[in-house]
Amino acid sequence: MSSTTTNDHLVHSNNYTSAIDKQYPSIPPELIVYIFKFLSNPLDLRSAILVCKLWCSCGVDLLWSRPTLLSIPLATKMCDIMTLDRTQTIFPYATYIRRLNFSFLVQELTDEILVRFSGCTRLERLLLPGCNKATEEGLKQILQAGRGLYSLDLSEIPAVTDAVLDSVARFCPKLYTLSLAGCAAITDDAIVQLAASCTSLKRIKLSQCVLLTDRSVLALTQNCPQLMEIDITNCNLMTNTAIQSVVQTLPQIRDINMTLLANLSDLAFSAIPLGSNSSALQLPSASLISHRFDQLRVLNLTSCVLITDETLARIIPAAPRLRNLTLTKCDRITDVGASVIKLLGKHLHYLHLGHCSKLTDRAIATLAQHCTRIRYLDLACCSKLTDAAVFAMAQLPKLRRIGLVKCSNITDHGIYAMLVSQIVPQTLERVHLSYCVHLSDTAVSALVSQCSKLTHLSVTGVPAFMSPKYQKFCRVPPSEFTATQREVFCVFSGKGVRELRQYMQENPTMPSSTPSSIQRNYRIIGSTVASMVAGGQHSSAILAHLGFTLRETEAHVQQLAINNAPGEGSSTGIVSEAAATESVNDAGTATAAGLAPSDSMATSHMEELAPFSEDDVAAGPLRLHPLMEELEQAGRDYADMMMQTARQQVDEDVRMASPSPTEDGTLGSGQQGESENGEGSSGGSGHGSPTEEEDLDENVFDDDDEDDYQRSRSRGHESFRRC
Amino acid sequence: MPVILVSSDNQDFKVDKEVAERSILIKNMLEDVGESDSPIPLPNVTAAVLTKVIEYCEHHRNDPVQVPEETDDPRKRSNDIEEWDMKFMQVDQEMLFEIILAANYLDIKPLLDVGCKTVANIIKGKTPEEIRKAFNIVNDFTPEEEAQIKKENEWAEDR
Repeated sequence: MSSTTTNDHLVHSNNYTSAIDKQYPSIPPELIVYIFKFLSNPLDLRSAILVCKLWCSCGVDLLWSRPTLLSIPLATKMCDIMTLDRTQTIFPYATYIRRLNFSFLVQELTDEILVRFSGCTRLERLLLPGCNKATEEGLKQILQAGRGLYSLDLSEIPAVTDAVLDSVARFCPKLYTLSLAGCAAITDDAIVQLAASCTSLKRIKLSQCVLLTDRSVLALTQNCPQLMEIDITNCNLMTNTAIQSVVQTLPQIRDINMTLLANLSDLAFSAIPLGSNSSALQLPSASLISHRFDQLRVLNLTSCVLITDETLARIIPAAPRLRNLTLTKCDRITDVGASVIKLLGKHLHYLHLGHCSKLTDRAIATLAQHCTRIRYLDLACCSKLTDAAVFAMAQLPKLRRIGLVKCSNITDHGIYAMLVSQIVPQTLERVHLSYCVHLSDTAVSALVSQCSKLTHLSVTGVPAFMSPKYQKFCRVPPSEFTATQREVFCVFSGKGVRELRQYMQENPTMPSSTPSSIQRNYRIIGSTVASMVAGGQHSSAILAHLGFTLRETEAHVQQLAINNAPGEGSSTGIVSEAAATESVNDAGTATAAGLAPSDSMATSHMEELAPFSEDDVAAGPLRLHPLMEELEQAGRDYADMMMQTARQQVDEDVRMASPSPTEDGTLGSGQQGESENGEGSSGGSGHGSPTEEEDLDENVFDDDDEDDYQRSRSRGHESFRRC
Repeated sequence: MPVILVSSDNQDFKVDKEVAERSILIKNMLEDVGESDSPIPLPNVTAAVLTKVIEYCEHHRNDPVQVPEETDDPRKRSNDIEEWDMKFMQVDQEMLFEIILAANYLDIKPLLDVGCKTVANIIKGKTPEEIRKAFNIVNDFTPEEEAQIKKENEWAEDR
């Protein structure tokens, strides 16, 4: 709006000056071009070139250089002009075209249109992903357009054969980005020929090129010394040899995707010395330098099921600036391997550990403590994790996405822990809690209300959400789902989240344990747990502490509510403000307060569910209510006690741990006992064959992640295209 | 330590070194000369324009150094001008162009960008005739030429 004001002002002032026919300082052509680069809409650029000859010569090249091909009629119109005889047009338009992106026309682009662009002799980028109507002949013809092509995307085109790649090898020697993802028909011979000719290749995507073997990768690593990105997802025939050649010859590698290479084992990385980063091993540095991967940012080992902690112990210290690490379904990874990841420290932003079912709270706590800039954390099906892990993650200041699908030990306490950390509610955007069966709608409601940036929430299979009142806001289940899958499906995204939030705020469930004082207590507990984690306490001790303190907290608040029951009103004036909210929230119980007039109930609830006010945050531990101080002290005492207990236990095997101090038959200890048992038994029978149930959940899980997948995929494409 | 800049019409401007060094041209000059209090002549910039440029540099003296853009994406955005800059650019067109030329000469990329974005914003949404009017530009096409260019670039209207 203010920009219009500026313009008006300028236009306005011009109206006055133009009367005197003022001579403006002349702007040199290169600055006019520079100004035109800010005109993102081709319509504006077209108007600009019609202004005068100088502007025309400055802008016409820009207008044609990377047309947005939004429709076939538009493309046809362009072709009609640029394929005219050169004497019939003012400018040689075809030669202005530098980039052609047909990704908006995948279903419509035929050879007929495609080959009409063959005259674009200065074409640099050609993007045809998924253009499945293109034929071998059409592709061969367009590839001959010019020898300047440096970026080519032929992914998912069925017509891409060895013959097409022969054209690429012959006519595109400058190529440095090539995507052949999903071109399942191509063979090693074509890649060998390509590698010999396109030696400047920096990025190559060969995912799903299922016929390719180690030979392809060897040809690439030997001929293309600048290679920095390679994707061989699901090239099932490839073995350790392929990766060994990458490791040996490409120290500058930036991005390796080895998803689903079932043959891959620790041997793939065996050339990297163990712990090559440790000072003790740095003496014969000459040999180690070649085994450092300082440029490596993205490593994807999804479903490389034979990989163990050993690979992590080799690659992580050698690639200290790894940003995106995916180990999904590498289920041999244990806490030992996961703790090596902590060496990445602040460099690690994306971490996928889904289905690494051996991991425990300890690994997560260690990672959260060291890798403080994690934005994206997936721990789906890490079934040993408990609320203690969530407490640890709640301290991550940049966490935007959290995946806890099927982490069924997680309870409401974990959710509240996230909220009271006051850190993650400000950053969380996507939360996956499907099959966290113990969660209540009250806790999730608080989550939805307080995380203002939340755009995605999945709670498939959470019984508390199996109700039409919530499901009416949820997304439509994917068509391939079975009836059973549809029944439990519950994913909210975008508008759905907003509607759910509004509904929940208008129809609050009676919170039994979320009055503000409890929330404060969670804060206290949270910081205590954080310090226990930081102090290296074992998760069992932390858990024990958690169960104990939470019960204390609840009891204390009950007491608090009773103290503030009608009758004692005026004498406890100081308390009343805090208590009012609590009492109101307990309105359904006998402790319902007379302090708050009943008509203010709704507002109180709103406050209750609203994010912490500035005031609340500022209050901090210093200005805590006297009762809160008392509680905090109690918390500290408990913490001290637990620390001592933990210290005594620390040498004992976790599985053999003596009964925890909370084992007195209450809920808290009961849960803990279960989790301990789970930990104990899984050593023997832990990961058996996946059950039918597992498979079903798998699908749901995948759908939960569909958006992420699509997003990352399109982002991948985007970055790919930019190059 | 202050630096003395001399405009084309021989006016002296005393400015802090860190302010003057927003201009890469001046920064390089100072680095070449080393420690020296001799005034720096700027023969391409008048006092009026230099006053404006210094005002901009004063305001942005603590801005982080701009990192060179990673991509060579030729399409840039013009709708991200910050409020102070927007106000700063509310000058008559002669001054606007003078500032752009000075920013180009002095090598102050953020100022050049703001200037060019401002001009781009004036162009946006206007017909060719409105643009000519706005910038006082004479149409030097013959009617035939104009019609042909219009026709040859008609596709840009399609969506």
